[in-house]
Amino acid sequence: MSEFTARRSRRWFLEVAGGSVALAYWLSQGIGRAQGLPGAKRLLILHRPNGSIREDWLRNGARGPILEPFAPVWSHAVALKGMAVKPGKNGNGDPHGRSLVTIMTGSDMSPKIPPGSDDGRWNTTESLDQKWARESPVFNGVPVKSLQIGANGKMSGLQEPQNRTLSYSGAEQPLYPVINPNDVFSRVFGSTTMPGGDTAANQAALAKLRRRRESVLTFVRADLTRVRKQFPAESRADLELHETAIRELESRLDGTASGAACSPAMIEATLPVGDLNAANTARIAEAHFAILRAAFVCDLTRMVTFMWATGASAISFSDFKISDHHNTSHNNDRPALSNADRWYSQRTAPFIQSLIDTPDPRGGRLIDRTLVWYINENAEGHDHNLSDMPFVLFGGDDVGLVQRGRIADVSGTTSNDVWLSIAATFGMPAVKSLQTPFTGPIPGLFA
Amino acid sequence: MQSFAHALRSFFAPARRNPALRPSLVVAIVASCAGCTGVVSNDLGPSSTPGLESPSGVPKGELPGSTFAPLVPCAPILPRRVTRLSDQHLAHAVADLLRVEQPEIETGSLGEQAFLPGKAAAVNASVAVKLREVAETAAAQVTRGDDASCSGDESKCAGAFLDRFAARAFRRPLSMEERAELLEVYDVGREIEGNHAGGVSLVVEAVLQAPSFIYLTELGNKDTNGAYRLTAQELASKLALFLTDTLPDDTLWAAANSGKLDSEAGLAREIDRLLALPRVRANLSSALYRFFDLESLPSLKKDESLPNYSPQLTQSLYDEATWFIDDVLWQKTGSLRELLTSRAAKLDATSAALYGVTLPQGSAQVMLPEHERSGILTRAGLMAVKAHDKETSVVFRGLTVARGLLCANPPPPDPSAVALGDSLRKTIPTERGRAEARLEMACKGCHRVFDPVGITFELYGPLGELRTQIPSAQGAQPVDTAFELSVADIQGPVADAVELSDKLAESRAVRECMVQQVAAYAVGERLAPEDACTVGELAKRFESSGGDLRSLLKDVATWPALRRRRQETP
Repeated sequence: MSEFTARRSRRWFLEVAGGSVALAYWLSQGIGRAQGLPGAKRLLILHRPNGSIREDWLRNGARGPILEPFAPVWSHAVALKGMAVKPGKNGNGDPHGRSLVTIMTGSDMSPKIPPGSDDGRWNTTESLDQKWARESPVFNGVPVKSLQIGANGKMSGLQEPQNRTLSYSGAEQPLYPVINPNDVFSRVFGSTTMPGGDTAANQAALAKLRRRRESVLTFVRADLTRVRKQFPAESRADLELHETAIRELESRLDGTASGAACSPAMIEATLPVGDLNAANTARIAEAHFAILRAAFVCDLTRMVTFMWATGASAISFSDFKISDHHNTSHNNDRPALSNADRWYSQRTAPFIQSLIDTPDPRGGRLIDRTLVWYINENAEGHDHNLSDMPFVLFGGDDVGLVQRGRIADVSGTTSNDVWLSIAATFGMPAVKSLQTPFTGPIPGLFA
Repeated sequence: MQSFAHALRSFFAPARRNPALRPSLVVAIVASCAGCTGVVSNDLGPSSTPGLESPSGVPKGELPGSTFAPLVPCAPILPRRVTRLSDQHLAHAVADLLRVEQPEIETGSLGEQAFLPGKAAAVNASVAVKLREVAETAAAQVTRGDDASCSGDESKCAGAFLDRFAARAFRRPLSMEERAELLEVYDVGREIEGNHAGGVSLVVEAVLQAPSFIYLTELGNKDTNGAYRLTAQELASKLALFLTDTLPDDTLWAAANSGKLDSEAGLAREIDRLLALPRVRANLSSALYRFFDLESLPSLKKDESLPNYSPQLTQSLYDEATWFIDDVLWQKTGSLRELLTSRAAKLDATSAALYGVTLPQGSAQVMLPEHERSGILTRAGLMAVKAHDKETSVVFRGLTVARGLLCANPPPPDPSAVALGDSLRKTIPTERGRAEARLEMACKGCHRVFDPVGITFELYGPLGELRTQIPSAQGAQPVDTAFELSVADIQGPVADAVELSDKLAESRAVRECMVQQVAAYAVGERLAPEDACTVGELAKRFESSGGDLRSLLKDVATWPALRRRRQETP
């Protein structure tokens, strides 16, 4: 019997390092493509919630205790000082969601309140990550055009769309992050694993699976075509998204195996998804980071939004006596809040480090072609201030991040200016869709 | 353990799909407090029920071409529409259709609101991958079951399986084209795996990922009067999702296919059958638990320094409150009055201690003390949910009544109001004191709708315990619950929540609101003021039944609005 299994009895994740186990089938296509496209670049927007603590973020103009965990990766970092998020029309609602929507869309907000929210507002346009993934050649040609991931998606009380997502496929169309790493794995790697290696039996099993899925998708597509004719116009946007999804599934059916550098590594079989516990969230994030790293190596995706937790997250940090992060932020317990934001730094920094350490099959290291924008929806949680946002850019030469290892004073700029600054690098030279305030590309940040 | 600000935000889990859609009864109230301007208008008399009467001059009677008589001559309230089955509906449907383990599906929705589920998230690539996994897992289980075996001609078995399974999953007959395509899928599976089970399992994968399964259609056929009428299968699906939280069972499906749902009598018989099913009763009870936010009770965290608090307490109180709802709805009269005034309770040692009741030997069922408790609103479990971790909340409790039972929909507080609330908490020792302060300020415009009502619940502490004193940093304060109320048809002095419950049980406004709530649950979304004509028919029947909730459920299930649709906006 083949050791191959499509329904994973054990969970495998792909890591570059140390594998003697053979490659997974679908990865090979990625490697082949990567070798043909040396210019590919990646954008990762990485969010953590509930603001920071000013005096511990920067202290006397230098890294404070919250930024200190990034010291080992500082050579690839530029912390931003003085950047604001400036919501546009209808931007006076929910002080967490309005910032996320503004950072991600650059657009005005809708007067409409999403169901599940009390004072939030809907977005009015697709988010810029989606627009860029769709329009820019930099993000085209990979199997997973964009990926939305979260380490914790739980909200306490209200279930507000605008705090549970960074990405939108259109107005009022959230693309919620996938929380369970197994589900992300399924999407990125086709849920096929090959414990036992690249054997003939495994190849035969994979070929069989591909035929099964092909047959299913043929029917699903025919059904979709039929219902599109019958369904009211109101369902058009949903069906288009469904169509795109099917296309992605279909695109993963092709490809042939070839020897390359992606090898799987086994990790935890079950992960503690679904609670508000910080330690569990960290375990989930680690699995996501492992998947992301492998996806980057294999060039399976280049556009990713990642949420450590929802906006206004209620995660509990028992080490810091925080039973509900958002609550604590309202109580303005500064030492505890500083610890919480530092906790996120401590767990994000090793991932950045791994991007620095991991070779990119196209040459150099993963970080060279990656830009990570580390964001938060508030400057501080107690007053929901949106000036002087605690943002950091991480990246390397190939995405043009220059004069790294510093704190850049960008006072007067807005979050839109980050998009404008990186637009040319990411193949979007003419950004015309911003409705909310911007000043333009920020001088001196990018080559 | 929620902060005031957060808890306040949480409480406002809103009845607001669209701010323009507000229940008619309270339009005047809502209009008066928009933005907490402090403008107060109270022009609602006890019988003021604008919009709930049928428009004058509209003849009543049978519509041409309909077998239903009499039909309400109101415009259909819902457009023709298509919605994705919710995560829960998909999970139930997969388990029920194939008799397999219920899958875990969590792809999210656009905001759950109390007992209304919210629109399911669209099928993006991540959702599609999840649905593929669900389908493949279910298919693998099917290969081990009866559906996968065939003792005779395999192509006949395959055809029979398609007719049994695919038509049920799609909730309509298969077209010839679909049938042929699915047989091709079967052939591929049969060939790959070398056996019948392989073909069947691949059909399962295809059907469960097909849009025809994933999307619920409410399209109907054109009626002679220009409206649309759901097909019998669409109606059966709608009713099943409303009443059973899953796809139609065998009997309902057979009734749909045999034309029994096309006549009023046939439909009524089916509804009677469904309403007697334990699964339906459990589902409707559970909707009512969610309506009162009781589902959060078992895991509710309270301040551990509170006397009487133990981690088991909230589970005990949940058991008590839910037993009470089940008992009233399905064992006793099922009347709204009983729900709001009965003192019957089933207690365990923990809840008995909290209620200060000695359980009779060998019995758990008691009557709670008169003058202390009256109906669901005064149950310890509900009072504990509608409180902070250490203190009570006049706002939460007041809103429970205003929003849930009077269909008021006050707007959310703006950030400055939240900050003001935080500061009042620091300076005024009691919830009543804070409420009275708010009623002297601009907040009055909104808070007058719910704060006075909330004050009457100050009888009960943060665990729902009866109390005579309120501990505070400034020393123990006396409990004072009397207040002059003026909201909808609740007018005049009220001594406490027990008397309030009595008044609510008499209130026509409450009865009308309950009709709107049940109708909204059936429809799946909040009703608009222009729906008053259609809802008015239900309200009249609820009045004449003396507020019988079981009759209301039946009336809503047989409600013409559930099966009629208008042309969607182009």
